[in-house]
Amino acid sequence: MGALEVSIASPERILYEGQAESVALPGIKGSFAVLAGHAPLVAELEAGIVKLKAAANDELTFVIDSGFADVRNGKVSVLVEGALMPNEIKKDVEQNKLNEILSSTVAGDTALINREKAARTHRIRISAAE
Amino acid sequence: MATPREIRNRIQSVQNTRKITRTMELVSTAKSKRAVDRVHSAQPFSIKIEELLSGLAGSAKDVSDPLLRQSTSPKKAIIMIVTSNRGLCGGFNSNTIRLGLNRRKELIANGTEVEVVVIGKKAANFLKFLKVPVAQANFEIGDKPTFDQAREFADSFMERFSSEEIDLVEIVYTRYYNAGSQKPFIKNILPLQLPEGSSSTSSAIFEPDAESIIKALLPRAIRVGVYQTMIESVAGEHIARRIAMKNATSAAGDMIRSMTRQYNRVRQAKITQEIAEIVSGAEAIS
Repeated sequence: MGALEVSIASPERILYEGQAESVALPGIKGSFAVLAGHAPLVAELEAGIVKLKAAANDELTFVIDSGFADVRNGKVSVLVEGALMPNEIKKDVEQNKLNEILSSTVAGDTALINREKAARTHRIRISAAE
Repeated sequence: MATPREIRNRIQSVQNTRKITRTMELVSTAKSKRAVDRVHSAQPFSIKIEELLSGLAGSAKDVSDPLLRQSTSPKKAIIMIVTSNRGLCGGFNSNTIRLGLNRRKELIANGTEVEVVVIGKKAANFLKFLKVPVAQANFEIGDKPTFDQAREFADSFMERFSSEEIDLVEIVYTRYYNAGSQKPFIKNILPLQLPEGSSSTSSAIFEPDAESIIKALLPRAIRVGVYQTMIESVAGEHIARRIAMKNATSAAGDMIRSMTRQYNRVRQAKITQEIAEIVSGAEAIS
């Protein structure tokens, strides 16, 4: 079975470009993994963690904001608005931002949902930094 | 006739200026390289988004989204003019501002109310001088525009567009074509034009479904569009400054050369005159 071509790109930079055995992605309807030979797929991703298996014992982790994945002809393109490597996350900064978001008062359901969404991004980052 | 000392002082001052312009040239060269790198690293993302959109446009023909609302005669428009905070970069800012103002005039002539949003001190100062009202001016975006900054602008545009407060958003900026060519350009941001549909992805599985993916893609395409105008403008600024400083450096070199010649001529004339005086003095005695 051939290898998968994976690229992870945000507008500001390209985080990964190269071959991989498999890549696990956080789809909005649940996480899924892509192996070589996967059928064409366009999926929306939510903020979460991408696990990329470059080789048998070489796993890379990326923490992403929401975005998309496009699987086509053995190529996986992950497009996200922002992404970090776990070692780039500053835990105290994220914690402060999270506290800030949680201490803000919101009115109405949509505002509450938005606040939850914003908080989620930071929670994921904090847990990934550990 | 200037005295040799005066000319020498002038040469000295031009030499100092040349030193500064040459340094600025080198700094701009380095900065433009970094800015161009940033432009290039944003390209895969935007190309891919475009590809996805055009693929999806084929499979989901009649998507209706507030961001796609077309209006034949827009009532209110926003023009965002992207310039730099600093000058000394040739016609970079003035060309962009001129194009923006022409566009504004054109829209007003068609009966559209125009709101001007400005990035960079240069446009803000110039428009203030012309007494053109500016709704919003941002000077925070300097050498390194971040995606978050672009997102703020894009999101406020999208919100106002969706609520039908505005019908058109255009960005006037310096477009980066390649290292040798950057030109002022008007980019249409809203309403978004869906690229021509191709059928390349029509057989793909959509998760959750094609229409929701398009709807999620649209705001991203707009945000990345705004982001690109900012980074391309920064690249254009540094390239323009590098060229301006290069010209200034070589002009200073020319000036030094012609002034040195003048200095030598004056010096020789003075020596000749002194010899003539001594000779004629000696003749008068003997």
